[in-house]
Amino acid sequence: MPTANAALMARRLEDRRRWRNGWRRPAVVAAAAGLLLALAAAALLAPVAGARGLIDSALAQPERSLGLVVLLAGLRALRLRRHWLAERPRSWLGVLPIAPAQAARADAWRLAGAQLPVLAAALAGLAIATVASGNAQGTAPLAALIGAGIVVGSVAGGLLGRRPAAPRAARALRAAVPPAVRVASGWTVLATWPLRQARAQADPGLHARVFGALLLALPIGSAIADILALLLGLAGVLAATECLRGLLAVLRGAGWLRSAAFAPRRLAFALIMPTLALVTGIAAATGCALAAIAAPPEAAIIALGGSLFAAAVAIAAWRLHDPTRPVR
Amino acid sequence: MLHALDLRVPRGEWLGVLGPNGSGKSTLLDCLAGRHAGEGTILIDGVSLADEPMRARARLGYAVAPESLPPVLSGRECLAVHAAARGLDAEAQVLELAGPLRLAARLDDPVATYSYGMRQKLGVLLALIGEPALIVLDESFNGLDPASSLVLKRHLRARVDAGRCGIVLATHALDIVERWVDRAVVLHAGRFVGEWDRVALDALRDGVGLEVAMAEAIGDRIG
Repeated sequence: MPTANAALMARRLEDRRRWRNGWRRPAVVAAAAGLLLALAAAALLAPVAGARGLIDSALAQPERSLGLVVLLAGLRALRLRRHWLAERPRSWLGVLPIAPAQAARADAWRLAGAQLPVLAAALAGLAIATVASGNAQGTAPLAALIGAGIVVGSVAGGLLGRRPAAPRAARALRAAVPPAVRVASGWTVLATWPLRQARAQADPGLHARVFGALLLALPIGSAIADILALLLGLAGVLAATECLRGLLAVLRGAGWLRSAAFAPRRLAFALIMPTLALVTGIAAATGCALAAIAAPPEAAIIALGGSLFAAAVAIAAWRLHDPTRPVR
Repeated sequence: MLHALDLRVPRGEWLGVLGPNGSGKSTLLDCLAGRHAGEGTILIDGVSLADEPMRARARLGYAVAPESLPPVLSGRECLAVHAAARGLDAEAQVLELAGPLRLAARLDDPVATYSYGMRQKLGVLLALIGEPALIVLDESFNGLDPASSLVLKRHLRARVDAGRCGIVLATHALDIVERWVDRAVVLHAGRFVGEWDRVALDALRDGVGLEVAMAEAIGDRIG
């Protein structure tokens, strides 16, 4: 009978390898660059009244803030645990004699690893809000509150998630893709591929949770203009991020085009330009809307900076995955 | 969907499961692995899969599909994990087989760098760890080079002939069934519609061929 926890052993081995390789991954570099850009933008806009209000409100009602963090972290942990339980039979360890208690320990380890990026993202968000508010007081207690909330929520969600997630029907956005009624030209297919990919992989549930968290975190009695500005800014960031994620997924998966004799520039143009045009459009629309509701004028410049950042990421990804170049 | 099936694969028998796409071959294998909870009873080496899943799975070797292998781990690490699950520190017997399969030199590389055939070999090696009483293979010879395929078939045949295990192989490769298995069954729409023992398989190989016999069993017309 088994004497070692093979599930935990596999998980630790995988995490160790991912940790070693992770720093070199383009996605990590892009996220770090994006954070620096956001911090620079926050410093340029500071002091922002909304950010100040957000931090003051969180500090004034710590139990409410803690409850919100626990709730969000707990829901994520619950969803992840149920998802892992559902996928376990199909995994490469699925047919091994692994006791439920051993699998649970491996899940706890995996959950800790999965919640670490959330903790990092929350702390990064706090750093951006602090810089935007122009006042660093209260950062330490809020960071401690976020850390504690994520730990408590993860433990509770992990313990509650004991039932495998039921198989779900296609998500709304994916199901909304209309059936092909005519055969488009190859170039049209290539041009629309990143946008279709973005639509297919977007998770409306995740977006709803992000919006919900923001609305719950807003101080009671916030000005409508502040709420609108925050919601608009968030919507713009989410939409542009989904477009960019779709493009990156397509560029990573463009290897199957290697055998076709495409002209490099034309192929790059067809794959990348529609997404960049859309991201620029989203940035322009968000900047105009923010300006219309009396947000600082720098918001428009920041939106433009965001689209330039997207272009830089797309070009870097193309250079990395260019399917017209031979494999090295 | 599978209908009522009665199947026994003793140690010392290699069973081939044939059938058109969607006939239920992989579903049958999934049932043997405990991935499908349905009605009926599955005993592995006399141990009920439903009542004692840990003991039953310890007696089962299931070839991991190439796409399921963890890309960041090395082949040796994958073998170590599966050995640990069976309470073994190392599996010299399996590592010895890695040499003739031309996998030994790559065992310390990440699985992500393996070709499809190399992943297949690793998946089969994982199934051989710990002297399982029943080995389950799902199209496990796809993508293997001819020399490695022959090495693996000889190794499996020797295990079976020594009475160390039984094998269930789901495949479309009729040449493997014609030459290597002891018995073949044909699944169609979740039911067994044909069965041939070694003598019948030899007769088919020398006669009309297994392709024609299989098509007749499932009611297909061939030109």
